[in-house]
Amino acid sequence: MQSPAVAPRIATRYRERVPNCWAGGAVIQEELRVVAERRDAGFGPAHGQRGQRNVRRDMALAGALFIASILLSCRSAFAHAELLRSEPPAGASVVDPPHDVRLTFTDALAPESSIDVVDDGFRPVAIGPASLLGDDPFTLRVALMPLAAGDYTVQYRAVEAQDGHAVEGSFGFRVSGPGGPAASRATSRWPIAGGAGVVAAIFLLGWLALRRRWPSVPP
Amino acid sequence: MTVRTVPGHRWRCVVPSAAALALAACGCGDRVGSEPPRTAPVGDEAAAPAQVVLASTDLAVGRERFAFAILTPEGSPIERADASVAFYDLDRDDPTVAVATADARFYAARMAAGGLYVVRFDLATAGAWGAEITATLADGRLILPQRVRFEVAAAPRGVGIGDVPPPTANRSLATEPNLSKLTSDPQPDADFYRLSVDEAAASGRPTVIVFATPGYCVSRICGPVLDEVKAVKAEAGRAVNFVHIDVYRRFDPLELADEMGAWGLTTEPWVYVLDAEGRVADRLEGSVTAAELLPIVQGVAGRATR
Repeated sequence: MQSPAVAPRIATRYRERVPNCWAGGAVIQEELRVVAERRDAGFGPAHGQRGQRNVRRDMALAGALFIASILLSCRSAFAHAELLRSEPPAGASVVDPPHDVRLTFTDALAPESSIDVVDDGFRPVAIGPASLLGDDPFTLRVALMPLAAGDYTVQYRAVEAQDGHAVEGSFGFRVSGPGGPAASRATSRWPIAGGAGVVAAIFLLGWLALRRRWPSVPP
Repeated sequence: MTVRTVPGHRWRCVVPSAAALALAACGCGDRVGSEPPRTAPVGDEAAAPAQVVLASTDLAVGRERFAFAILTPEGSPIERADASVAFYDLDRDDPTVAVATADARFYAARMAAGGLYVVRFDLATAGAWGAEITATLADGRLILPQRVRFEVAAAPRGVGIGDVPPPTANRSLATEPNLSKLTSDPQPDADFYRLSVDEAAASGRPTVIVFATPGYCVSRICGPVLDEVKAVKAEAGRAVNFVHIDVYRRFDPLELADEMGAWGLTTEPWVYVLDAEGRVADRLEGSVTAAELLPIVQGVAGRATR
């Protein structure tokens, strides 16, 4: 619905001047005022039936631009780097300890971005500083020490390469592992005693079956 | 809140992601004592994936407002979780035993979706601290405990609680009648620009000061916070002064307001509450809800009328 003549100008103005929704509202209000002034000054189609329709069209177009521009400006306001995905995922419980943490963001990052990983005693478990992947400036990676079973927290600070804005956050993951509490809970489904019981049952059934085949031998 | 580098001034903010960081505040009673770390129960049930974003960046020795948001991995705020925080002094001999545990209360914003969890806690020493944040969501699931490290300074970077503010003869309508040059708020309330901080502090009435730039806010929450303060103003009446100082004194090109440096502020927004004598009664960094701020203002105003 946007007029090709108007939309690029508004888009440019928004990028230059409208970093958030509230400022976007102010600019589009000015646009509406300009439209109204031009209408009142007689620019465009002459008044009359055709002029009135064009005025309504202009105002409807301005209204649509208002809504679209608010959405655009809000979207541009929200254009901060956001965590797109992580390995391990937030809240995940993994059996095999990860060797590294990889965080992928929506924006390219600056090298001063960082990742800290701590265990349940707040002890750092990362090896060296985080670094961007060579061919992927959107992904930040940090190597990890061999992790024991337990809970870990990833705390990141992602600095956007374009404007230096920083986004911070943290999430947890759990290593269950073969020695971890979750794994031991899982293996409790088949406890050693239960397994032995199964084996014993097999032998008992087998003995009963074989006993029927082999008549007892008198002493 | 995000970092925005202004020539000669470095900013630092924390951005909680797409949805507006609503405000939440709550100080609930502390349970002081040595307690082992708490963890989510181990089992086959999956922990709820969640991010935690700290909203407090200027923490110093003393009673501090420890605020954080809980988000989904996609960045949507998680509201009304039953959250608590265990604090660990990591410089102590045994940093694995919590110094204290406090329940956080969730405050929702009036103006936008989302919420913030806040704990008021006494940070006794400067140095490295840890906070273990646990939460049970409304559906009963637990999030994996988040253990975040943070630094506590000996003194705050900005003007602190109990301080007398620096002389602040900020611009007002008396010195700049053009509101659009005073504020980037597209819908300003003129009452916020009638007094300078100096005048308000000398008035004998409490004062709420908002440092925010709705039109150029990197954190994206300046506008919502100013709206929350406007809601407080509507209920507080004329017993309290309200002053808005835009982060920038000039908008094209952007020039940082002198007051930001004078108050030691490197993030935005900030809300300060001055008592009737002009001393700082409270300060709130980042997200602030009317639900949190109104009782504070009413308390200060109530003490002023005694």
